[in-house]
This record gives sequence, structure tokens and C-alpha cells, in this order.
Amino acid sequence: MTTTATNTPEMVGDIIDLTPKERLIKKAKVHRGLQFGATVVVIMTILAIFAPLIAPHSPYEQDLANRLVPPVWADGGSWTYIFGTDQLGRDYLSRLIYGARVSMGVGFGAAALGCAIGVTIGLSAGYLGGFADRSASFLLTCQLALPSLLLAMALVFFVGSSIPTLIVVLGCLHWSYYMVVVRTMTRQIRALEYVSAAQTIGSTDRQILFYEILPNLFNQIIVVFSLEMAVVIIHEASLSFLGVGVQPPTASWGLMIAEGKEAMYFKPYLVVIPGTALFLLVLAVNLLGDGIRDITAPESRN
Amino acid sequence: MKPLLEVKDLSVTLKLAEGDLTAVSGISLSVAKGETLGIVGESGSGKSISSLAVMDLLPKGTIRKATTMRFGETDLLSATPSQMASLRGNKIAMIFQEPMTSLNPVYTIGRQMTELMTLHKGVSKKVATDRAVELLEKVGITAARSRLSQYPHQLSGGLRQRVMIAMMLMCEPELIIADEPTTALDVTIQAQILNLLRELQQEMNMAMIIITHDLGVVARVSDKVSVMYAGQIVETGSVEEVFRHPVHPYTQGLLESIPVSGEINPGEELGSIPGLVPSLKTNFKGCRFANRCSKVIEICHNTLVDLNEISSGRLTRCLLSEAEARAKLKEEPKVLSDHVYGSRVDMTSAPVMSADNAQCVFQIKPNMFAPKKPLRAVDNISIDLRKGEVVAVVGESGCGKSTLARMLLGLQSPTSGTISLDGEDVSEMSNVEKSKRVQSIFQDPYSSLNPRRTIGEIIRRPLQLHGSGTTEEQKEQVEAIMERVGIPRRLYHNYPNQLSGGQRQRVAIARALVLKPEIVICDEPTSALDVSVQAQILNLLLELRSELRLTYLLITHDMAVVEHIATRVVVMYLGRVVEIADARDIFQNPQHPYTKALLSSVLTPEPDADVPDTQLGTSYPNPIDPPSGCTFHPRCPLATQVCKERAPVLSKFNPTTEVACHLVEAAPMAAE
Repeated sequence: MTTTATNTPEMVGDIIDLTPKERLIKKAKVHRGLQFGATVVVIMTILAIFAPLIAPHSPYEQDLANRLVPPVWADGGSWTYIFGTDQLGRDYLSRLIYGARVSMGVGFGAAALGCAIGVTIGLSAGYLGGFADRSASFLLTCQLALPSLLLAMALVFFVGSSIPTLIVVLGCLHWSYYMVVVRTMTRQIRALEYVSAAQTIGSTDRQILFYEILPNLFNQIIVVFSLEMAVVIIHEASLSFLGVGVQPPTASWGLMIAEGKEAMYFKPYLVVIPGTALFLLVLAVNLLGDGIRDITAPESRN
Repeated sequence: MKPLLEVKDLSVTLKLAEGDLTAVSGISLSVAKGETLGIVGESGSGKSISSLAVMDLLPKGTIRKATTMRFGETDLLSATPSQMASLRGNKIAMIFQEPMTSLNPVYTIGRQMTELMTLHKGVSKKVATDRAVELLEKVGITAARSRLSQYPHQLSGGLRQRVMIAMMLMCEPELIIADEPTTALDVTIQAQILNLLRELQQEMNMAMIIITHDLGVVARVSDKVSVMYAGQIVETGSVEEVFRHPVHPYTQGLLESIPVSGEINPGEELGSIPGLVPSLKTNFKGCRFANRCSKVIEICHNTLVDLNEISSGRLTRCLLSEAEARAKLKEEPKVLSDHVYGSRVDMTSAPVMSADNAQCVFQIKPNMFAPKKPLRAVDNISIDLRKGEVVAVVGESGCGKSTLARMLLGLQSPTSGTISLDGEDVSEMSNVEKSKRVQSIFQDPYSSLNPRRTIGEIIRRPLQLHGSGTTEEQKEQVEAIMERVGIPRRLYHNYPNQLSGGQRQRVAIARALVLKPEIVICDEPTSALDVSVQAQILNLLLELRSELRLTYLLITHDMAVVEHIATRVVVMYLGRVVEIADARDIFQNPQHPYTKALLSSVLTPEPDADVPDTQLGTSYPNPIDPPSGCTFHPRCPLATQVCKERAPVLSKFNPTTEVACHLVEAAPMAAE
């Protein structure tokens, strides 16, 4: 009596043409933005990690005899100092490479912390609803009402400035997007039948959250992560520029812009070079996030 | 007579990321004034795309080709966009499936109706308004003038579809294309809408194309029918001919997949078409139906088949001769047995699951300022399930049948009353304990499987949660059950989105059965599936029932399915049970007027039968504001004064039947 069962198999072949992985790769191959973003991010990550091996000079070593040497393409530039030197005679390229460590480290760390906070609040608000949801929404309203840069300045000022402090402060101020996105998605998924099905096979709430719901949020979280990372990098640069972020002599792109601003009109490269690096990184991270969304979005799966 | 719409060799190619997909290849249609053409086919057969192609509403980047496409005197192939726009809504009107989304929610009905006419005919607002009122009255909407200032969300689904029809008639179109006009509606409303469409068509002498997957609808309203399969028309002819003497094996299979009252014993295996519709990306070398055909011969796989005329107006796309194609594979005389199915159930045994005065009340705020009002989704229901039974719960949407299922599954705790398993209160059991005995199969196989888990993971999950056996043992069990429900083993590592609807539903069944439960609660298990696949799944459920001694509680709105597999039927209306009886009694001798109305509105594919005239007056009441007394009285053709004042109680009519109706109560003997 298994006629229905045995006849099915042969016909399946032509329905499955691409596995999800193959489809993903195929889409990634034609997505220029994603390729550009990924390349830049990967290169900058490598530079940051292997900074001591790559940097031609020490970023801290001052050489007052060679102050404000212009970069190699300008008049008077030399290949010894490719991007020139700053007011204290430090090699600008080396400072840029070491600065990538701060920018990327703070960006990644703070975005990850914000992610942990936002996803936790969003999941519980969306899944539990009721009081939890109302409390979370209240918290969100408070967070959105705060002028975050001002608050970060105040906090860093009181606690004292160090890279871990920066990460914690910026992380605690950048969770709202995660929360909004995760909460909405969780509410939608919760109403789907596979969550009901998970309950009827005996899953507990925790198992449902981590096994059924969370994996379905990965795409959205990655996209928000990339956007937030870009915002955090800018924020760190702003704080450093304002003098409450990374303290000299540590190299940071924001700090480099701040230090270069006095000589900006005579030696524009002092601002343009770190500014360009910052712009490239933020653009690349954004493009990467958009790209990931494009290739994984369920609506473009067919 | 020259047909009004004539389409020859229409092909539509969609451009996709993965290559071209020919959704429709070489179809020809014609429909004359006053004639109704039905187009039937399963999902993906290209029936909706063809109608969109006629209206020139295809998505951008789609290639449309045809040798002839003519409407009246207009050549649709060379028509400019502005010419098309003046035809659409004016000469050709289209009625869509979903009345909830086809009306614009931010404009009043009146504005939407009159806009069309002032635009196309250039008449004054006053003339258009008068016409709108006239048409709304014609489609059976009471207090028509006051309705004009209402917004779509203030109307029920049935009313919206009527408004949609009235709107389409504003400009007196010559052709109406109705794409699944009643699929989203309840059966009782469906009959009313179909009757309305037919009357209006005859009165105004319009041509009509009805596109549907429902053979019952086509059989009863159309004159001609075209059966579509994988982008081609496989059979065309008069309804009478096609339904009485189907030639193409696909048409035959489709007709056999539908449980028809009186022609099949309850519980017997339905005829079904094995396998799946081929992907349209395939480069076909032979007959597109060859891989599923029971009469396939060698040449079918490598010969492209044309539509052949076998008699005037009767075309079929099959290599076999008419006699060969029609010949039954095995001729066995049907013996209609007398109630063997379900008689094995011991009705005196203790119930395995029971609901005792279960009630579920939601507190709803009708609007921001109004106080909370109780919505009695399930109102004091008592049901007993005995081992081996198949109890069907039927009723229209909003009657509380899904809430009842959720309560029985423990997903929703009753506000009062108890649910018990073998006499133990469910609310005191843990999830894991409950899940060993009760499992569920949900309606929508597209949302009941987690898209991020592979098929193997999904089926193995219950075993993991219950910690039964080692990983290896679990995998063996999963593979065994996959084989049993008919999922090929190589799909173990595939994701749900790579499977068809029918396969997904098999996965859902496998997940439910892997724990070896006693009771399976099926919430509309086949309503999201195509006819031929529905038959496969129903057959599987029946086989598994006898094999594993399962007890089913089946929630459905499809009376044909109920008649086929249920042993006992519970009819619900507005959260209450109006009738419980053995399946045979319900179908042969229904007592409650609502049960009778439900049964009479079932559309079996009988070509010469009319659309039944259900006498259920107004639409389904709002459950927040239920009518007084017997909640059914406003729609009941037999209602008396006492029905308005006093709610009837469920009482025994005979040993196996319980009815809640004053009229049956008063004279149990007089009722037939």
C-alpha cells in the first residue's frame, strides 16, 4: 500500500537545481559592491593584525629633523616616508596602519557588544511580549532621546580614556537598531507554525529561541552589524578628534585628523589621508553589509 | 459566431536570475459573448500568467509571443499602452482572488467604484454614484447608499468580493476574467458569489473566463473548459464532455483525486497522480506529463505532443488514441460497502483525549476608546476522542476550530474547563510528556518547517529533545520514517525551500510521527496543497492510521475530505458545537440547519448540476458581537421567535447524534 511513497523519488531531480550555498556563491560573483567591500575590509583587517610586520617605521618614533615631509607624490616627498611625516616627524603610513587597529578594534568590539545587548533585549521583547515588550520599548525611547555623542564624551571623561572604556561606552550606546530589527522579526517568526510545531514536539522557550528563532535572524543581524560598525568607527574618530577618545601618542585615524587640523591649510594631506582611509573603511563595511543582505534575502532567493 | 476574445499560440517567458522560464507555451483560447470558459490547473500550471498576458499586465522583462490575440476589433498584440489602459476595467474586467488586498484600504468604496466610471466614460459624479448604488443592490448588498462611504476594512470578505464584482461591472465590461474568485471565501459564501456571477453574466450577456484549481467550481459554472498542465493546455472541450469522458490521463487523474460522495467508500484509497509537476526550466523533449502518467508508453518520453482535435471543439494533447487513453488500467467494479469504516472503534472505551467544558475567551478592544470586550473563541466545548477515531471538526473561518486545536495541543490554555489525556489533566503535564502522546500537523507546509534547518534536522529534532537513543540510532529512525512517508533519503541534507508543498507536508507528517504518538491533530492538513497532491497526503494519512493505530482530530473546512476520512464529525458555529454525529449520519441525515447548509454548498465536480442555492442570508456574524439566543438565527431559514430569545443546548437526538437546535429538540421524531 505504499504506491504514493515509492513513486515520488525519480521526479525530484529537476526541482533541485542549485543548493543554497551554490546559489549564494553565484550571486556573490556578480555583486560588485559586495566584492569591493569584502576586499577592502579584508585588506584593512590584515593590515591591522600584522601592523608590526607591515609598518615601515615605528608609529611613535619622533624624528624632528624630518618634520612635515610631504608624501611621495608631492614635491619634496621621498619613498622613505610614503605618506610623509606629521608635525613630530613620525611616519604617517605607519601611524595609519597602527591606527587601523584602533578603528577596526573599537568598531568591531563596540558593534559586537551593542549586538549582544540589542539582540538579547529584542529577542525577549519580541518573544515574551506584554510587560517585557513595553519595558524594552521604554528603554529604547530613552536611548533614542539621549544625545549619544555628548553622553559618550561625558562618560569617557569621567571614567578615563582607554580603548576598553571606549568599546564599552560606544557598545552600550549602539544597540537600538539591533533591538528594533530583532524584536520585529521575532514577533513575526513567533506567529509562524514552525514555532508552534516546536512547542508540540516538546521544546522549551529557551530551545525555541536559540534553535528555531535565532538562526533565522542571522542575515538581519549581520546587516545591522555592518551598518553599526561603520557608525561606531565614525563615532570613535569623532571622540578622538574631540580629544576624549584615544589618547596620544596612540595612533588613531580620528586623532590623526585632530592633530593635523592645525596645519590643514598648509599641509592638507595630514587630514586627507586619514580621512580617506576612514571613508574607505566605512564605505566598504556598508557595501559589505548591503551585499550580504542582497545575496541572502529570501525574496531574491528564486 | 466570431468569438469575442481569441488567443492563438500564446507563449510567455519569464527572465529569471537562473535562466529563462517558459511559464506558458503555445496556448490557444477563445471565448464568445455569453459564454464561460473555465481554465483549471494546479499551481504553477500557468493559468494566471495567461490571463495577465491577455491584459498586458505581465511583470517587466517578460516576453509575450502569440500569433493572434484579438479582443473584439482590437488587436491586443499591437495595442499601445494607452489603448490597453482604456480596455482594462472598461471592456475587460478582472476579479482577483484576494478580496482583502484587491481593494485600496485608504479610499472609500464609493470613491473606488465611481472613479473607474468617471475615468473611462467621462460621466458626472452623480451618474456614477447612482450606478454604483444600483450595482451594489444588484450584487445583493443591503443599504447600498450608506455603504459607499465605508472603507474596505469595515466589510467582511464575502461583502468585499461582492463590492469587487460590482466595481467591475460599473463600465459594463464585455469580458470578465475571474482569477480564483472564491478561493479565499468560505464554502457557503462561495456558492452565493458563483451564483451571482452567473446570473449577472447571463443578464448582461458577458463573456467570462474563470480561472481556478477547483474542479467543482468549473464544472458548475462554465460551458467550456481548458485543463492546463505545466504551461500547456492538455485538454479542451465542453464541460459535459471533459468531466464525463475525460481523455487525457491527467484530467482523468485529477477527477479521480477528488473524493466524491457516493462513489468511493470512506477510508478507501483515493486515485492520485504520483510524483510532481516538472520544473518549467526543463527543456522538454517529450510529453510533459510522461513522468507521472499511468499509461505512459515508450514514445511519450521523446516525442513532442500537439493538441489534436478528436471531435468538434474537443482537443487533447496525448499520443494515445482516444480509446487507448480512456481504457481503464484495471477494471474493477466498485462495491459500495455499508459502513465498515470506523466501526472498529470501540465507542464504549474510555476516551484517550477529552475536552471538558473547555472555554477560551480573548479580551479584545474593538477600538482605542472602547472598553475591552470578551471574544468567545471557544465556548464550552466537550469532545471525547476514542482510540482509532478520526474526528473531524468543521465550520467556517472564525468559528474557533483552530483555537480548539491549539487548546488540545496545549499551545493555548483554556480560560476555563479542562483538557485531559487518558483522564490526566494536560495543564499539569510537561511539554515533553504531552508531546509523546499528542502531535500535530499544521496547515501551511511553507511555514511549519524552519527554513534554516535541513530536513534531517527537522525530523530528528523531536528525538533529540526527548533524548531517545544515540545519534546513530536517531538517524536510523529518521531514515526509516522518511522512507515510510515517501521522502527520498537523499533529501536528508536539503533545506525545506528546495522541496515542493506536498513533500514538505510529508516532512511535517514524519516529524509528527517520529515520536510514535497516539493522537495526531491535523489542522487543515491539505488545504494548502494541489488536488492531486492532496489525494497523496490523504492516502498516506489513512495508511498510517491503520498501520500505527493512530487517532486523528482533523480540523477542516472541506466537507469532501471529511466524508472521505472521518468517522465522527463535530460541526462548530461561532465557538459552539451545533452538531456531533457519526460521519455517515451527518452526510445522510443531517439535523442542524447549519449542517444542512454546509453540506449543500459543497461543489462536487458534476457538470450538469447547478450551483446550489444556499439560503444562509447574511454573512458570518462578528464574534465580538454574537447574536442573541441561538447564534445562528439571523442566517437560519427556519428561525422562530424562540431561537432569538433562548440559546439551545446540545442534547442527544439519538444514541450517536447530539444537536443544538430548538427545532430539532421540539420534534425529534418529525425531523427526517
